[in-house]
Amino acid sequence: MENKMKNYADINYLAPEDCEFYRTEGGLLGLKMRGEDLGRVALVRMFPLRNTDNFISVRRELRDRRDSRVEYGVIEKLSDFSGEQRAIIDEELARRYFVPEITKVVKVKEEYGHTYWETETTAGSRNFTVFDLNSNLLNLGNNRVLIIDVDGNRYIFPDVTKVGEKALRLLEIWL
Amino acid sequence: MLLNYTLPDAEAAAAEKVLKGEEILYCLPYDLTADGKFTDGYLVITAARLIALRSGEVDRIIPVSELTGCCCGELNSSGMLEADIDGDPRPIVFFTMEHMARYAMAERIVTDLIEGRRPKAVSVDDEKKCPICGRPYIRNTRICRNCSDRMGVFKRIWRISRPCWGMYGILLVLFWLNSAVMLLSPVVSKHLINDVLVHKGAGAALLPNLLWLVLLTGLCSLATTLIGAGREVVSAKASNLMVRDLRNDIYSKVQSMSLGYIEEKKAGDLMHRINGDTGRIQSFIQNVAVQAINEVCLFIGVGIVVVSYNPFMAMLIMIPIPFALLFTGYIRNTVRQRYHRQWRWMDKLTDALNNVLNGIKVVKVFGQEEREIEHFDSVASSVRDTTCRVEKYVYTVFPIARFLIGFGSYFVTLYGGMKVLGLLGGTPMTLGELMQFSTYAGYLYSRLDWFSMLPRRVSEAVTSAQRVFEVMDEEPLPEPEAKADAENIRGDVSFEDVTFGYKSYKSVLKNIDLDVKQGEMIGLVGHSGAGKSTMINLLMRLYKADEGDIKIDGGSIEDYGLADYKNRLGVVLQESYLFSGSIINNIRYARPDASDDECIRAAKIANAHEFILDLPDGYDTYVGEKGQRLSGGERQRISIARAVLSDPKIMILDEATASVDTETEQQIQEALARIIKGRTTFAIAHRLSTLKNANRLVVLEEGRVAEIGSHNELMEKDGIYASLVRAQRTMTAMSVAIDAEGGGPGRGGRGPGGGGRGPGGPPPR
Ligand SMILES: Nc1ncnc2c1ncn2[C@@H]1O[C@H](COP(=O)(O)OP(=O)(O)OP(=O)(O)O)[C@@H](O)[C@H]1O
Ligand SMILES: [Mg+2]
Repeated sequence: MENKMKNYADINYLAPEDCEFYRTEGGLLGLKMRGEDLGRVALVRMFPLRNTDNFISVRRELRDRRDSRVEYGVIEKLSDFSGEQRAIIDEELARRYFVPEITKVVKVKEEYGHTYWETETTAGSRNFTVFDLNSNLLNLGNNRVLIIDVDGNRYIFPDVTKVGEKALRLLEIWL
Repeated sequence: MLLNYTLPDAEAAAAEKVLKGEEILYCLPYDLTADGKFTDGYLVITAARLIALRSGEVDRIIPVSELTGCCCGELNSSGMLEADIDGDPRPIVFFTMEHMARYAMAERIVTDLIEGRRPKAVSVDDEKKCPICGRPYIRNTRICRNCSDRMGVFKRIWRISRPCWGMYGILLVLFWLNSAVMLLSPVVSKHLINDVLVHKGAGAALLPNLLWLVLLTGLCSLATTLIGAGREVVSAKASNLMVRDLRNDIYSKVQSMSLGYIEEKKAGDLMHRINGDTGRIQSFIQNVAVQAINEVCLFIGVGIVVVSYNPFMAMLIMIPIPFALLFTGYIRNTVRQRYHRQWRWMDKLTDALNNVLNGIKVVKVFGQEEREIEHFDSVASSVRDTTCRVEKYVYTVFPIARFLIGFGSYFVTLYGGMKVLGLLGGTPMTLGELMQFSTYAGYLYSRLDWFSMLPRRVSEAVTSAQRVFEVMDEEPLPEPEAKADAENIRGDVSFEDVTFGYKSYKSVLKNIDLDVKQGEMIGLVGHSGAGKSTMINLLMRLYKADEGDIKIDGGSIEDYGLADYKNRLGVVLQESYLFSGSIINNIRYARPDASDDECIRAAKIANAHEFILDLPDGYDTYVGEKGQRLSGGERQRISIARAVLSDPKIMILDEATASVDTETEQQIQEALARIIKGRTTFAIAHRLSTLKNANRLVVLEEGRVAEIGSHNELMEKDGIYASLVRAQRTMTAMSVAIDAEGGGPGRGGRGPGGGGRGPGGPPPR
C-alpha cells in the first residue's frame, strides 16, 4: 500500500538527453523518448500564470474525450533544454498559449459594465470587449496584468503602468 | 450560428478561380495565422474540398478525398482545425476563441463530408455580436447598446418613475416656493438695514417698521423650514415608491433568468444590482433630478437679478467661477479615484470576512486561525491606510477649494464697500443694497458647489441605471407555449440522440439514446465527470439539449409548461437545501396548498416523522439558512418528504444517500423504495449497492452511454461496471478488515471506507 502511494506521488522529470522533440509532417509536436517514438504530444503548463517556464507536463495529445490521459513526463525547467530542442518547445508553447501582449491602447471606453478596447498587440492590432473587469482581470505581479475578453481570449499588459492614463484609471481599481 | 459568411470581393474572386462554379456549402472566418498573428481569412467548404483564403489569395486547398479525419483542436486560448491526411494530422486554419464554436461545427461538417454524408449543420443567424460595431448584443436579444438610442437611459428612468410624477409635481412647486422665499429674504434684510438699522438713535418712530421686518424675517425662516420638511417627506415617499417597483422588477427578472446566466454572474454582483444600484437611482431622483430643475431656474433667476442690478459687480462675482470650476473638477476626479480605491479595499475586506465566516469549520479544522487573522489584519490595514489618505486629502483640499470659490465675494465686498463710501462716483450704494447683493453672490457661489457635483452624480446614476437595465433587458429563456398537459403524464422518458455541452463547443453528453418505460428505475453510474448529473439537469430542464430531444410520454419535453412539468418531478439531491423557516414550510415548499395532514403523511413516508417529533418544536422547528441545526441525513429526509408531497411521476435522485452513514442510508433507502414504486426513477450513486433495486443500469463514460443492462448482465459482460463493482468490493473488504482489527475510522460511524464518495467529490464546505 505504502509503495503504491509512493508511485502515485512520483513525478517523472524528463532528462533532456532522453528526449527528442520533433515536428511532424503537419508541423505539430512529436516526441521520441529514448529512441521510442511516442507520436504527437501536448505541452501543458502546470502554472500557466505564475510560473510559465517551469513544470511543463508532456502529455498524450487528446483528440477524443475517450482517449485516456497519459503523462509521459514533466519538464522541470525549460532552461534544461537548449538549442534546436528549446526552439521547438518554445514555438509549441507560444502556439498553445496564445496570449498577445498589448503594446499600446489606442482607445478604451466603458459602458454598461463592458469595456471596449482598441489596441495594438504583439500579434497585430485588435479590438475586443471585456465584460465585468472585476472578474476578468488578473494581476500577475510585477505590473503584469492578464485580461480576458468576452469570447475567452487572453491578453497581457506587460506593464500596466504604461497603458495610458484613461486605461490605467479603469484598470487600477481592480488591481 | 452563422456558417455561411459572404466572402469579400477580393477573396470571392480568388475563390471563384478555383471553384469554377462549384457550390460553396459553408464559409467560416478565421483570424489567426500559423505563427500567431491576427489576420482576416476565410475557410470555404465545398463538397469536394476545403479552401483557406487570406488577403485576397488562396492560401491552401485540401481535397476532401485525401482526408481521413478532422478535429477541432482546443488550445489554451485559441484553436485550430486539424485535418488528417493519411492519418497524419495537419492544422489547416487557426482562430481565436471567438470562432471556437463555429469550428466545432466545422469538425462535424468535414467529418460528414469525409464519411460521404451531406452535412446536417445549417447556418442560423443568431450571432451574439452587432454586425455594425462588433460589440456584443445584450444577451438573448438583438439589441446593441452602442448602436441604439443613447438618451434612452434618461428616458427610461423617466418612464419608470411614472407612478411618482404627481409627487414630483408637488415637489417642484415646493422647490419654487422655497426659491421665492430665498430670493425674498435678502430684500427683507435690505429694508431692515436701510430703513431701520442705519438710523442710529431714531427712537420709537421706527419701532413698528422694525417689528414688521423682524416678523417678516421670522416668517421667511418658518416658511423655509416648513417647505424643507414637506419636501423631504414627499421626495422620500416618491423615490421609495419608485425604487420598490424597480427592485421588484429586477428581482423577478433574475428569478426568471436561465441558470446559465445566473451562474455566470456572481451572486454578489446581482445582489448589488438589486440593492445598491437601485438605491443609487433612488437617491439620484430624490436628491438630484428634481432639485436640478429648480436649481437651474434659481441660478438663472438670481443671475438675471444680479446682472440687471449692477453689471460690473455681477462680473466681479463671475470672474473666479471658471477657475474655481476647473479646480474643483480636477480635485473631484482625483477624489473619486481615491474613493474607488477605498471601496475596492472595503470589498476585499468583506470578501475576506465572508470567506472566513463561511469556511470557519475548515479554518478551525486546519488550525489556521492565526493565518486568517493575519490576512484579515493586512487587508484591514490597507483599508485603514487608504481611508486615512482619502480623508486627509478630502479634508485639506475641499476647504481650500471652497475658499477659492468664495474668492469673488471679497472683490464684491471691496468694490461694494467703495461704492458705499462713494469713492467710485455715481450715487453711493446703500448698506442694505450691498448686503442684498452679497447674499445673492454667496448664494450663487454655494450653488456652484452643487453644480460642480452634478456631472459626477449624473454619471453615477447613469452607470447604475445601465447596470439595472442590463439585467432588465436580459431576455429570460423564452417560456415555450405549453402544447401538452403535464398534469397526467405517465412517466415514459426517452433520450433521443441527445447532445449537450455547457459550452457549445465542448460536448459533455454525446448522442445519448435511452428509452425508459414508466415505473422503471434506472441507475446512472460512471466515473466522476462522466456526465451523470448533466443528464438529469437536462431532464430537470435546467438546461436545454443542443441536439436531439428528450421525450416524455412520446411528446417533446419542451412542449410541457415548465412549472407544470416541474411539479411532476421529485428531486432529491446530494446537498439538500433548506430555506429559513419551519420544517413544515420546508416540506410544503413543493406544493404550497398542501394540508398539514398531507405534509405529515409525506414526512412519515420519508422516515422523517420520528426524528421531527424528537425535536422540541416538532414540525415548527425553525431551520436556519442551511438547516444547520439538522444533520445531513435529517435534512435529506426532509427534502424527500418535500419530493413525496408533490406526488411526482418522475423521481430524480442524485447521490441522495452519499453523505449519510449506513444506518441512515438504510432508512432513507427504505423511504425511497416506498416512493419510487410505480414511478420512473433516475438514481445516481457512487455506492453501487444503493442501486441494487434498479431495473437497469446505465454506465456513462465520457459523455456516452457505454453499457446498459441489469447488474447481472453487466457483471457478465465484465466491462466498466464490473470493474467499478470490483474496485468497491476491495474497498469494502479493506474497511471491514480495519473494523475487525478494532476501532478503525469506519467503525459504527460512516459507511464503508470512503467508498461512498467518488474521487471527484465536492470540497468540504
Ligand atoms: N455548470 C457547469 N458549467 C460548465 N461545466 C460543467 C458544469 N457542470 C458540470 N460541468 C462539467 O461537465 C462535466 C460533467 O459533469 P457532471 O456533473 O455531469 O458529472 P457527474 O457524472 O455528475 O460527476 P460526479 O459523479 O462527480 O457528480 C464535467 O467535466 C464538469 O466539469
Ligand atoms: Mg454529479
